[in-house]
Amino acid sequence: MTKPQPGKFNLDAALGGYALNKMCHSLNRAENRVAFASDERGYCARYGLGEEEIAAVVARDKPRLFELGGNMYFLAKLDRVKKVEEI
Amino acid sequence: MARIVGGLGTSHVPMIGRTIAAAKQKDVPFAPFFEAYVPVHEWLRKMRPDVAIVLYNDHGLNFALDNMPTFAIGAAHHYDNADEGWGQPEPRRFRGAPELSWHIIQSLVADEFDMSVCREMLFDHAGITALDLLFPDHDVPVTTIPVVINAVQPPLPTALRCYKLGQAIGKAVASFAGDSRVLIVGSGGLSHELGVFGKINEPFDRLTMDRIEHDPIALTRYSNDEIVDLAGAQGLELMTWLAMRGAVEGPVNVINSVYHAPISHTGGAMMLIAPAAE
Repeated sequence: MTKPQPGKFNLDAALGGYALNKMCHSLNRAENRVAFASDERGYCARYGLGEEEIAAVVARDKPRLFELGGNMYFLAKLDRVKKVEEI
Repeated sequence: MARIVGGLGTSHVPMIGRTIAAAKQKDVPFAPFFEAYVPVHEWLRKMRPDVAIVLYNDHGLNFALDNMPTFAIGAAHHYDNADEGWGQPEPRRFRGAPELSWHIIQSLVADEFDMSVCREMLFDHAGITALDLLFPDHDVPVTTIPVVINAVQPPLPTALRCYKLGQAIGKAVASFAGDSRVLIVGSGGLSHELGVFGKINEPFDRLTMDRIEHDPIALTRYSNDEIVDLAGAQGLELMTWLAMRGAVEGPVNVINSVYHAPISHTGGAMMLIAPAAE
């Protein structure tokens, strides 16, 4: 997989990142953020994320998330989620 | 006859909106950015626009990857804000201008700009922040027509295409029989890349502002990948300024402008132009 560069078209990223970005987009909603924070792995699995993607989400591993096709506008939603103890 | 009274290009990073909401404009390191808006507010009182056509990029609020139009325009009676992931904001409603919207849509499609037409549309912080800068007390005396340019999922429209979209919007406004006084707003940029500090390119931003004033066609010669290399991935939000300048064509006077970097992680910029004939 060629390494995606933010802002430039990358076929692998466009094809591969859909579920990951869809999950991140769902975090616009408060009830989804609570559900995500209480069970990050289960929430990701319900959006069809694979084990590699789930591990990157849980670790908030930004470089890896980009490589997996994460789009920065949607990954930004992930940054806004409070941890369980903050809710 | 409707006419365009001016065009505004502005940065829209969320920190700007939060600062206005907290009334801390004088207390932040980028206070000069807000100070530059004082002459803009005087100009607004004098010129009294009644419609703002706001060109911006949605940030994954109204549009997601399941359905991502290249160009979209609102035709709603009103536009509401919504939670973008920071928590439910205080509900705000912005009045639309559906009659002018539909006129512009018909004109654009006749001119071969096949717009996505939104009968309902959530209003992203990119558009709202621009209106907050213009009307900081949140009392917005203008109706609004949102126009969204895809800056999220490449491939994105070219700089020349965005400039031409602006030209077509300008033409549409000029042929509207109503008596509207229209302000065109381009909300985005300048150089930045989300999550990465140090992608600000001040020389490029300053050159861009000079060219917006004197030679916008020169900017349309950059490819999108060249803009990313020069100004970062979100430097592509420059497209909103180019579309604005296309709508306010010909010689212009700069009413006021400012460049202040950084605001958050962004080359913060504002420029208000008016047709030289005004």
